[in-house]
Amino acid sequence: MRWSRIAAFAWISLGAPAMFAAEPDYGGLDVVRFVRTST
Amino acid sequence: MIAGAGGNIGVQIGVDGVVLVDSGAAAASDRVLAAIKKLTDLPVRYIINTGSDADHVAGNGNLAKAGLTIFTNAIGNAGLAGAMTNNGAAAILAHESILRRMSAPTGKPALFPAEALPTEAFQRNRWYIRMNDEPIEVLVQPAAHSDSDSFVFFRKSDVVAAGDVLDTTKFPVIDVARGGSVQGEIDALNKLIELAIPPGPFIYEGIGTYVMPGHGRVCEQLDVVDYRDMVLIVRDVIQDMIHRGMTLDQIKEASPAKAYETEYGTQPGSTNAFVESIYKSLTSKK
Repeated sequence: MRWSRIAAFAWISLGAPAMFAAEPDYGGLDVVRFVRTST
Repeated sequence: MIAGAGGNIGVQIGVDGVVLVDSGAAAASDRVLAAIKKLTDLPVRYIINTGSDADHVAGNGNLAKAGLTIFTNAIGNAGLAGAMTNNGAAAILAHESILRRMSAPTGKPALFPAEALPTEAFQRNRWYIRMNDEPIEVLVQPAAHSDSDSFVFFRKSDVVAAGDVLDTTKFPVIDVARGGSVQGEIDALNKLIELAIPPGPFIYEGIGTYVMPGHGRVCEQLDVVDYRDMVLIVRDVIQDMIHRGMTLDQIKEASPAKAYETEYGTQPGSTNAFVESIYKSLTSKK
């Protein structure tokens, strides 16, 4: 298996659950947040 | 990004307040304001428009009035300050072509009330402001979806709002009657690809530049490449059919966009409109 596939799989495994975490109700609108952390 | 209020709405939040990209439909303004309120208590300071379609600009007036000008009224002259500051409301920034399309200066009634019109219109092809410690570029794309399209690029957040040049829910609407063209659409998508940077070499570190379409899901550079390729391929197929002497009806009958219909042609009329706009675009030039 190529390393890129392993990395992508790890990203899905670790990142995907957080994407489906409960969000507040925005009155029927969908809100997608891009969080950028500064160094 | 707020979705579901017409076109997608971009929301940048920081110490200076809120900068919005587009304002959605007027009927959805209350819900948009309530959603923003849940994200921050800070006021809306700027609305930047990507185009002149009602689903992107009709909420301008409502959201601006709920916001607050960045200018203070230090001299205490309400009339003068009001005239200079959109009556204390947030500023609406857009390219002059958007103002022209919204205000209909040809003597016909304007499509939108005065309060929805841009208060800061610019003529150059690139404009910029700095809000929330971030440079924000407005990049004009001539003759793409129409003759009044802009990208709004948040350089620090690495997010670019593409407006209706990119629509993941359907084939791109190329409004030839309002100055759009298939070549302009391709040029604009190429510019978008150029702006967006994919993740690498560590591909698990985010997705790279976020590209916010006018409608639909958030994209990354490769999604835009796929979309651009789709437009290119369908354009080339139709160009070949025109060279072979086929009429518009014959081209429609031959379904040149068939391969992409399950993804982008599910909305009634979307495929036909796309094929027709490419045909008109290719045959009207020269």
